[in-house]
Formats: sequence, C-alpha cells, structure tokens
Amino acid sequence: MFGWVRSRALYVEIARFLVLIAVILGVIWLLGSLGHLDLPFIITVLPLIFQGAAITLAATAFILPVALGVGFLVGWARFSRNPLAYWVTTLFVEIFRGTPQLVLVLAAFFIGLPLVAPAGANPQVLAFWVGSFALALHSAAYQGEIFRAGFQSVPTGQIEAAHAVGLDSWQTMKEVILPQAFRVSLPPLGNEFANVVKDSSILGFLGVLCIVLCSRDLAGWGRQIAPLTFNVNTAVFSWVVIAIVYFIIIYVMSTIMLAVERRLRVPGLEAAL
Amino acid sequence: MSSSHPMIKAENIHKSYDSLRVLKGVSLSVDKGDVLVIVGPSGSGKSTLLRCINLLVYPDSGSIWIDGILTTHHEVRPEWVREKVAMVFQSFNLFSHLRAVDNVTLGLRKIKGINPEEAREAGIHLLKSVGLEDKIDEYPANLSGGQQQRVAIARALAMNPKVVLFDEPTSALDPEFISEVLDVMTRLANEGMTMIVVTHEIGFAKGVADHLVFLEGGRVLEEGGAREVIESPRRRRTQEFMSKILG
Ligand SMILES: Nc1ncnc2c1ncn2[C@@H]1O[C@H](COP(=O)(O)OP(=O)(O)OP(=O)(O)O)[C@@H](O)[C@H]1O
Ligand SMILES: [Mg+2]
Repeated sequence: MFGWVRSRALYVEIARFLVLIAVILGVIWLLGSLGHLDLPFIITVLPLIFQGAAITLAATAFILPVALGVGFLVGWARFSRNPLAYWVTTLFVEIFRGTPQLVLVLAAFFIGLPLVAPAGANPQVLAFWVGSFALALHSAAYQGEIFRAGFQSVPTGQIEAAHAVGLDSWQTMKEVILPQAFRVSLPPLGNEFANVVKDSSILGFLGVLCIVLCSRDLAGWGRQIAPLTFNVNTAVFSWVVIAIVYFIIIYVMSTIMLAVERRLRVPGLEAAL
Repeated sequence: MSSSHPMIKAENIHKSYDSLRVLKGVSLSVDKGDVLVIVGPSGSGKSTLLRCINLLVYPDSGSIWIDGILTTHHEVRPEWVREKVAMVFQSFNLFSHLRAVDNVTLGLRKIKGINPEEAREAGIHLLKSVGLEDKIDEYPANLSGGQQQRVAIARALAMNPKVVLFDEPTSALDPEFISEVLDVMTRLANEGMTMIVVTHEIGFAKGVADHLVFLEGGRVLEEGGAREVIESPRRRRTQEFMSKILG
C-alpha cells in the first residue's frame, strides 16, 4: 500500500524528524540555561500535561470523524437541488459557523448537559462529551462549506458529459464529482483538522467549570494543584511543553494529509491543491 | 441497408426555459449513415435541440424517435438513449481526474461492466483510431485542445453509439488544431456513422454533410441538400447568414 513512498522521500522524512528532535532538545537546553527548569515542578506538571495530551487526542479522535461525516453530508446537501435539504443545512451552517466555539461549548454545558445527563453519571465525563459534540458540530459547519466548494468546483460541463456518456446521477456523483471534489477539499480540510486539535483546548474550560460547579472533587483538585505554586519563571516550561505536544500532533496529522494529497495529485487539479 | 425508418426523427419539438421560448416546433429527420449540419445564429436553439435529442433536456412537447424507438414519452430510460446517441461538446468536457484512456473507457467499465484490462484494450484501440496512441496515459490538462477534442470523440465512440451529436466541436480550438479534429470527423462520416453536427465550418459542411438545416429563433427557416443551401439559399435570411459566415 505504501509502495509509492520512494526511498528518497523516506530519507527526507527521516531527516526532517531528526531536525525536529534536535530543535526540541535545543529548546529544552535553552530553557535550562535561562533558569526555567525546576525539577520538582517538572515532575509534578509533566504527568498533568500528558494527561491533557491524552484528552486532546481523545477529543480529536471523536470530533474529527463526526465532523467529517456530518460536514460531508452538509456539503452535499448544500450542493444538491433538494430545497428542504438545502435550507436545513444552510441554517445549520449559519448557526454553527457564526457562533464562537467557547459560546457553543458553554451552551452545551449549561443547556445541553442537564438535558442529556442521566442520574448518577459523572458530570466531568459528560461535560467532555457534550463539549466535544458542540465542537464537532462547529467543525462540521466549516467542513460542510469546504465540501460544498469542492463539489461546486467540478465544471458543469463534465457533469453533463458524464450524463451524455450514459452514467446515471449516482454514477456521475461517484465517478466524476466525488473524486474531484475530494481532491479539491483536501488542503482546506487539513487546515481545519489542525484547528480541531487546537480548539479542543476549549474543553479545558469545562474541566474548570466542573470542578467549581459540579462540586465533586474540589479537594482532589486542590491536592493536585497545591505543589504548583505559580511561578512565571518555571511555568514557562509547561507552556513550551504544551506547545511542543500540539506541534507534534498537528505535524503528524499534516504529514499524513500531505502524503494523501501527493498520492492523489493529478495535473490540472493541483492548482487547487 | 434500406430500413423503413430514419435513424433520428424529431417532430414538432417545443422547449422553453421559463418564459423564454427556445424551440418553437422543430422537426427534422436523419437517415442512417447520413450527416446533418445545423447552422444558425447564436441563441437560435442549436445546442438546445441537440440536448433534446439525447435527452440531456426533455422537450416540453413533440416526439423523438431513435432508430424507430420513441424516446420522449418516458418509455425508455434517458441513460439508454444517451448510450445510443453520443455527444461531443464545444469545450471538450473531459474528466480532469482521469487519464485519456480512462476517460474513453469510463462508460465501458461502469455501465457495460467490462473488466479494466479489456476496457483498456478497447480504449487504446479507440485512441489509436483518432491518432493519439502516444497520449494514452496523459491527463487532459497535459493535452492540447485538438488532442482533448479527439479524446472526447474517442470517448463518444466507446459505447458504440448509433448516432454522434457534435456541438460546435471546433469553435473553442486554436485555428492550428481545427483540421485534425475535422479530419477525424470526416473519416467517421465516411465510415458510415450517422451524425448531427452544429458547426460553422462551411468547408466541412459542403464536403461531408448530406443535409443542412438553418435554424433561427427556434424554427427551421430553411433546409435541404448541404451544398445547395450553402451555395444557393432560397430565403433572404439564409442568404444573409450564409454570406456572413462565408466572410
Ligand atoms: N439551461 C438554460 N436555462 C435557461 N436558458 C437557457 C438554458 N440553456 C439555454 N438557454 C437559453 O436558450 C437560448 C438558446 O440557447 P442555445 O444554447 O440552444 O443556443 P445556440 O443556438 O446553441 O447558441 P450558440 O451559438 O451561442 O451556442 C439562449 O437564449 C440561451 O440563453
Ligand atoms: Mg450552442
């Protein structure tokens, strides 16, 4: 399946990875020499950060497929001539694209959560799910627009030619419209995926809200936080690590997206890529 | 050879877009193996008439028969009609994501269910017949206009149609590429293909066409033998039009 990865491309990839590692080590050395490294702080904060990274990955793993699926259907409906599908999805896009993610996530928490919460459920976990769902719908609105533009980029002459060959509407969609719409949509989709990863940080607000409002585990939270007496000098370290974690996740993702784009590249359609 | 019915017969075709009446009762008939050229000013309904014949659009009223089969009254699927009546467009309309040979064989693979290897053989054969044996795996963006239009002709022939419609096949081409396309069309006509060609290439019309129809304002203003209508049109409007396109 990966036979298309030429050995030269593989070397370039390995070289880039080594440079990346070197940069990270350099940053750590720089932090140390500037006095931002404080071992007890690091030992306390690193597990918290990796826990956060795991939550980010979990949120992304939920949001991306949901948003991709819904976004694809929304884009298709906005491209179609079915008036009902068109108006419903247009309303959806206008609402979810025009509202800041923070507002959506808070609305999910204050309005959505009480509606869906079964008795005895862990509010912190539920908050995560309704928050992720709100973010998924927000991204779906954007991805819907990306797919709509992709669908509309296919010249009507080619659709007519497909019919003239004898393909029915479904075959025309599958053989002519989708392959081109998908290629044109890939680069903006890659950007949107990176946004999804970064925007999942908004879910962190829900963690804080939960701790304050759900009044469950305040003491536990205090115990975790207590050793981290705030000190800008040492806190810089955690911000750098968080930035690196985000960078790695997004780097891996965009490398995969780029490989897919290269694999599907076709002369004449690459202007859009 | 002598069949009792024409290959294409259209009777009293009407077509409007909203309040715009484009075709106002057009009738024509093309025998098997004949070439009909349609000329007429811009907006006279030439493209609309071709689209009605392969049911890319449905006429509002009137009847069309393809090889004796009535197609306009929803007794046959439009896809069936389009397999029998192929079309070549002014702007080529090749599928950008497919190589030349895959453009040609899409219908064979997806409609007739022919396996890819066999389809490719057939596609290569068709591309050779339009002089493109060295462009088989090229993408449309890497082909000249004349080459793209020849691929489009090969694509039209792939489904083994009874009729090929050409909608101004050379008017988007740079002058240097026009003759290579007209040559292919001429050969196709000589091989006995039934064709309807919208074109203002008067040399082609005189040399290849059997009949000519002059369309204006959605009506057939004059028709007859191609050479006869071009050289000695009977109506004044036709005379004016002919002298204009003859330059
Ligand atoms: N899908 C459509 N919707 C609305 N109006 C249309 C449509 N297709 C064609 N028309 C109109 O119908 C009229 C006839 O168009 P048509 O394309 O058949 O003319 P034509 O003779 O092929 O002209 P040209 O030489 O410019 O190609 C034009 O006024 C055109 O604007
Ligand atoms: Mg036209």
